[in-house]
Amino acid sequence: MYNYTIWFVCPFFGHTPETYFVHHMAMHHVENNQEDDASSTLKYKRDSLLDFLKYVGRFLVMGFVDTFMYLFSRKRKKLYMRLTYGEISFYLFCIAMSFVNFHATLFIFIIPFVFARIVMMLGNWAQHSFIDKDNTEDNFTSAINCINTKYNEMCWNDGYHTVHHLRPGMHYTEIPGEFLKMKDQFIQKRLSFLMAYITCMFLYG
Amino acid sequence: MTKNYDKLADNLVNIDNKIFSSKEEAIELMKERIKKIKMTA
Repeated sequence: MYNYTIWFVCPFFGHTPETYFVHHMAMHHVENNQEDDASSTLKYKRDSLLDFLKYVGRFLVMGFVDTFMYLFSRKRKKLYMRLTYGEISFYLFCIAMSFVNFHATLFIFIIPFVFARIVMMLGNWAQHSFIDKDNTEDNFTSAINCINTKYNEMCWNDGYHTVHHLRPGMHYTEIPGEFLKMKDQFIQKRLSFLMAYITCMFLYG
Repeated sequence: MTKNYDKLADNLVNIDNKIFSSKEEAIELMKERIKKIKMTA
């Protein structure tokens, strides 16, 4: 079932096989948006459209290489090999299918692939927009939280991004309860940005 | 990215009114936290 989902279903939704897990769990959650995170927002001015375009452009062109180098430098061979054969096999598949029917390949695989990468970076950009420069490693002051929004109903409570980073293995139905337990910490850390009534990602965008 | 801080501030949740004292303070804090961060280490 895992292989069917990762290798057959995901490419139709713009995800290259194996790469999401490797990038997200083995890199992003380890680094928590710090400098070594291949998709870190730290060095960008996060209310600037120009900086957002630089950020997305960098990820589209260098995202695979940056993630590979991150894992390679840490000698995590199994993970960088998974990343590589997943990404490269998708490219080869698209090239091969383009000879069969370029327009179909473009609309079924290539455009969803580019779209998904842009949307994922838009999400990461919004989730890690507001960061306390004196406390960048704290998930309370480096991630925002969207509450009372349709986005959480559609996306498995992904809006509770601080909780997502603190408890990455937690089932999504348990996240709101965990969030409530952390209420005092949100007050203490000031502005973990609880957004109500709006889907903040799209407001930024 | 639209720099619509006014609307953002309207939608911030100020838990028990303890996080910030005014809308202006919230906007000021938001603007501080979107700046580029240069790591020194």
